Amino acid sequence: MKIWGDTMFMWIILSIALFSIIYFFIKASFHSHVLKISFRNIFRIKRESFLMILGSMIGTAFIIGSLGMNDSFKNYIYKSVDLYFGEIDEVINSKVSINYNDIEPFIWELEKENLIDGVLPIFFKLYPVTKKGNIRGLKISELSQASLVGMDYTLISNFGENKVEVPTEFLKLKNNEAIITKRLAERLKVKEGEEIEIITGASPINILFPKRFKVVKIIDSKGIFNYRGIDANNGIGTVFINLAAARSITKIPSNNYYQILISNRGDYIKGNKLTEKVKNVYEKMKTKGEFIPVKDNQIKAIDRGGVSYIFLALSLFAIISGGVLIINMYSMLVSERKRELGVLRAIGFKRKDIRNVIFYESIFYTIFSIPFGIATGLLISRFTFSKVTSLFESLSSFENIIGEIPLIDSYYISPNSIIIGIAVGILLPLTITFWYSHSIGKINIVNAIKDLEEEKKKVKFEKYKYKIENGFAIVIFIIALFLK
Amino acid sequence: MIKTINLKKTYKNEGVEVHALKGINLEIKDGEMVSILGPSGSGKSTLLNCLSGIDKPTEGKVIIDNIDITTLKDDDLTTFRAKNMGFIFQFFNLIPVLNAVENVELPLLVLGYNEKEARGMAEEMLIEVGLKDRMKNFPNMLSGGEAQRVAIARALVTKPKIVWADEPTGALDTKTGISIMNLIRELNEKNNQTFVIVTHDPRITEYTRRILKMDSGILTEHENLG
Ligand SMILES: Nc1ncnc2c1ncn2[C@@H]1O[C@H](COP(=O)(O)OP(=O)(O)OP(=O)(O)O)[C@@H](O)[C@H]1O
Ligand SMILES: [Mg+2]
Repeated sequence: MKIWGDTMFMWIILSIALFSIIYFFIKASFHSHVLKISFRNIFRIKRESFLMILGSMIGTAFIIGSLGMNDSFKNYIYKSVDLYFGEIDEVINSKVSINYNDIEPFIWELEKENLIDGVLPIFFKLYPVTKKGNIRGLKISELSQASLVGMDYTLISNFGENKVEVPTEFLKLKNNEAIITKRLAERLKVKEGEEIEIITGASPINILFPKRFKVVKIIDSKGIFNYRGIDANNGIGTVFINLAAARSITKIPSNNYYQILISNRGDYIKGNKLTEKVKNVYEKMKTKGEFIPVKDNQIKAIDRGGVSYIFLALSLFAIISGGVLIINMYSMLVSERKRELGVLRAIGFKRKDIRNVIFYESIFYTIFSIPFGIATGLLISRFTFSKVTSLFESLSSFENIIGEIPLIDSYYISPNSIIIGIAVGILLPLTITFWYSHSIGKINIVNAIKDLEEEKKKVKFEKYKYKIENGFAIVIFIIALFLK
Repeated sequence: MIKTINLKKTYKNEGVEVHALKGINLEIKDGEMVSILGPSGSGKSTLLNCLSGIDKPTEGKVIIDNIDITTLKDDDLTTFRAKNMGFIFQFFNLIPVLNAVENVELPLLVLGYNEKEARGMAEEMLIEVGLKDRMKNFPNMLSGGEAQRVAIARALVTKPKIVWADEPTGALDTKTGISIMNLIRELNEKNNQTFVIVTHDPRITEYTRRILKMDSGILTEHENLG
């Protein structure tokens, strides 16, 4: 439902933006003499028109830019979450194994409430693993901690929002065969066809007789096929074996598991955040084991440095400064034309008509500036993003995070953000001008007509010019800051 | 008929009060051509602005054809102005993005005339003020005198009952000023419109039948040259 909410919201904003433009054009066509003045003003080929478009453009660019940066950071988080969890949202964990019968009422309840896309009971434990021969040779330093995962792999195809094609190697795993992840294989220096040894206990017997598995495949995958446990950072990689083999290692009773993986309905990344609800059901049903919201935890861990707040602050700053810039542009525009507007008032233009002279003009500027604004916004944000992230990567906040997360080098902006950027890029200047032109309608006719006579104009223009140039200077300063 | 009753206007600036109009009572009959003469700062422009309704008096009434315009709502007052009044200001006050004929037809379009009709009337009016060959010129391509003629055409095109002119020749050389005043008088005689002209130049008053003299916010003298 939520995903619909987001998309709907986006479409509603865009429709409002487009409809308001169409509405104002239709309205304007009934006041063609007002429209004519507005339209001609744009082509009074002057520095002001250019500044107006530039101002609106920068406003849009800021908005698009900040959305782009947000998207990229989110995308980065999601990518790293996707790498180790994929469809897995929560895990019911038990140190001593848990009987599936004890879990079932909870699962039924979740299904009844339509909260999940599947559950996956698995065998999971961390063991020292090495290449065959190293234990006999007493090369203890060659031992690596790895996750041992066993499950009924056929169940994966029904785990998650979309049907998953399970590689046949998983389905055909024999009791003495294993599939290992690429990173583990590299660490153990094992190739396909070679054997690995797993020490499954601390007793001398276990050490003297480690379990042997033939590596039938080395995979480089993500999500469930790269699952390394609830916090994703305990082992080097994962050894996948079949369920029977897994049971025989620890001799846990049949129908018992160490972990129950849960996939929530829909996609977390698309905005389906059901973890709280699942947790409530878990508590309501007094389910055994320990409830671990793995995906939430992971996202919080990555965002420990509050990076997302920095991007949020940047976005807010962008929108506010974009708005201030636009207001300044318009006040400049109006102070330039005050006298003209006063004359129009005297000869019969109502307040409403004066408002429209300015407002229609702003619609043109807005439309002109949107495409350029988006292009510049994408450029600015791409650039700023890489600068900000490289800044953060060099700071300590990223150090403690699990290894091999994808580098934050990939810039990403969602189509939604572009649409929202367009909509806000239209609505923000229009709202500001609408509000601003309201106050313009109230100009004192006498003062407005006197304006030029008293040569106030020049002074005022200088003042605004100063403000605008300040604004540009700040922008350039910020960009320069990230450039260095 | 234009009539004021005890018209006062006080400006307050940072606690200092300036009494620009100190109780003006006057009557101007339909078709009259009146000049208001007085030194700079005596309140001439303030009086004219209050009479025409582009400024609000602090006290008193401005009654035009039995309507007290000081009580009208802004939109109604605007419409009243558009229908009944024309404006000529000292400095050229044409809309820079509109050419001569477009400037002149603007008040007609505001009143809801259709474009063809408005264009025809505007062209006629421009011919009347002697600008047959300047119809498509934009204001920056007109001389000061020509621009003021366009402004006069714009003020008169709606055939208003009253025309207000604040220093209409103030920005023109003497020769051009004289031709503008001749034009104004000619139009006044032809159409029986009321003209109220503000000036500090006594030579201008020679063109009018009646002179109101102002000093420090009060009317000091009436002169009828009838
Ligand atoms: N907005 C204002 N605020 C304060 N005082 C004002 C304002 N407008 C006019 N005044 C004052 O009111 C008085 C009358 O001004 P007004 O413009 O009517 O004079 P005027 O007779 O038209 O002069 P001029 O011939 O120089 O145009 C002056 O003393 C002027 O300083
Ligand atoms: Mg004056």
